Amino acid sequence: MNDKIAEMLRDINPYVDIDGETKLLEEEILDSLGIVLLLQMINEELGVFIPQEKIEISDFTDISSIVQMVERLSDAKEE
Amino acid sequence: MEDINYAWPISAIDRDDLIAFEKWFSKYQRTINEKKLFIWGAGIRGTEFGVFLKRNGVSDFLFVDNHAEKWKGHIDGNRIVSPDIALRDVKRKKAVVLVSVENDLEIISQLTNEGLEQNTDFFTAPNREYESYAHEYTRADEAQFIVMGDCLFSSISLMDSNKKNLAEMVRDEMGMDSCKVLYMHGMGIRSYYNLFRMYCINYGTPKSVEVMVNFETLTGRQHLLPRSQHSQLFHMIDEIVVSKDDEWREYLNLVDERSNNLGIEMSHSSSNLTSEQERDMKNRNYLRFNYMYKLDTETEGLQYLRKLVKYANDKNVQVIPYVPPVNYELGKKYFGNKFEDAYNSNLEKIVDFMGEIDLQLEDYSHIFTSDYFCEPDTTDESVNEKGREVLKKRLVKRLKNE
Repeated sequence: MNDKIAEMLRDINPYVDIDGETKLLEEEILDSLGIVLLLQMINEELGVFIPQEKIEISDFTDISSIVQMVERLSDAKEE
Repeated sequence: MEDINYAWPISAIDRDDLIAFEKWFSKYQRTINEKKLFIWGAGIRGTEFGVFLKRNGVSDFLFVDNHAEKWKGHIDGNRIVSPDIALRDVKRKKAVVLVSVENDLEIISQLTNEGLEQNTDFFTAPNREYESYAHEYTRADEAQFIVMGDCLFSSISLMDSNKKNLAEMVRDEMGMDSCKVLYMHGMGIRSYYNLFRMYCINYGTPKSVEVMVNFETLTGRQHLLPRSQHSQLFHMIDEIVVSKDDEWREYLNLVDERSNNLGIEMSHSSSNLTSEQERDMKNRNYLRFNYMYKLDTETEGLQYLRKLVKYANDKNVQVIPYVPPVNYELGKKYFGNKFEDAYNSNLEKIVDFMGEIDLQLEDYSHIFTSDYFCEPDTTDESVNEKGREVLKKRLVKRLKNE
């Protein structure tokens, strides 16, 4: 899933190098439109719907925090 | 200067905003020549005012915003500062403020509480769009035709010589007494449904109603966008109409709730991008978010179109849904065939949906090449005078069933 999320992020911002170490908010790579677009992509490509009220801004710190958010909400849905 | 550019992509302008600005500018030009100018509100309308000022030869101004995260940024080269900095200069009589925020009552209150005087220390340039909408809603209550839409009807290009917007053009063609054009930027179908229903209950039913089916409002997240809820307008209409019901009141509450929970504040980008890269990225993401998603026909917008149709059918009102133009050439430029594939996939679902509710869709998606839009890289449906002339004829022809 890390690779998939990285691919989505590069689609949103194709002009910067993004890897596992990239701090997405701190380095201003992801903005609010980008976040909502990312949620849309996660919904469509991974089949996980992420309601606005279930997320924190810290979920978008880096790729691994995004993956954790997706896994957390996927598990919650299955329960 | 910090490098975060908080400018909203603007290629079209709201004609009512332009009129409001020009009225203010002609009256107070001397004041801003003599004092420093702060634009209060570093959002969409603030960006617009910045463009207007520069076109009028004024480039030396700053922005102010109550959101602290914006203080390290700028809008197209003009810095955004904190209220403290602006207020210090204004209190020393070295500067004045132009409030750009749409719902300006809070800012007016904030500035007045600081001891500032309106029309001396600070100014507003309201475009009265809500008052205009309410006026249109209530005048000529025997109108036979209603057209409902969004900024397609208010936008013009700064390059246009004919500055009539599409709403005026349609009304002129159809006749003021027989046709109403109810438009508000960012408005979705659930709003149209509620406003149409209240209209019929309070003022009578028209022969037909044209309803915009804008892909931008069917994403499932459109309610997160700023300027999409128009709580003030709904309360204005609520005060005007006499007959109301629980469904209307419930929607008023929802609009208020959503207005307090808007998610998308602005788009900005990394300081490492060139301005062209930044613009491209904003355009790409805007097109991607608004047109290339996978449409769910259970989305709120289409479900409320179904409800609107049922309501209208019960009242023998003809419903004419229409899809506004899309700048498909721009989509193709950024995404190649992927844009058309995604767009047409959604369009097909909408056409099928229309079949289910026994409606014929007026599809204006692909009628325009880029040169009919306000600018070649306009990402929304805003068209220039050439485009408006064509659309006027199409909308009117359909209304008249010619």
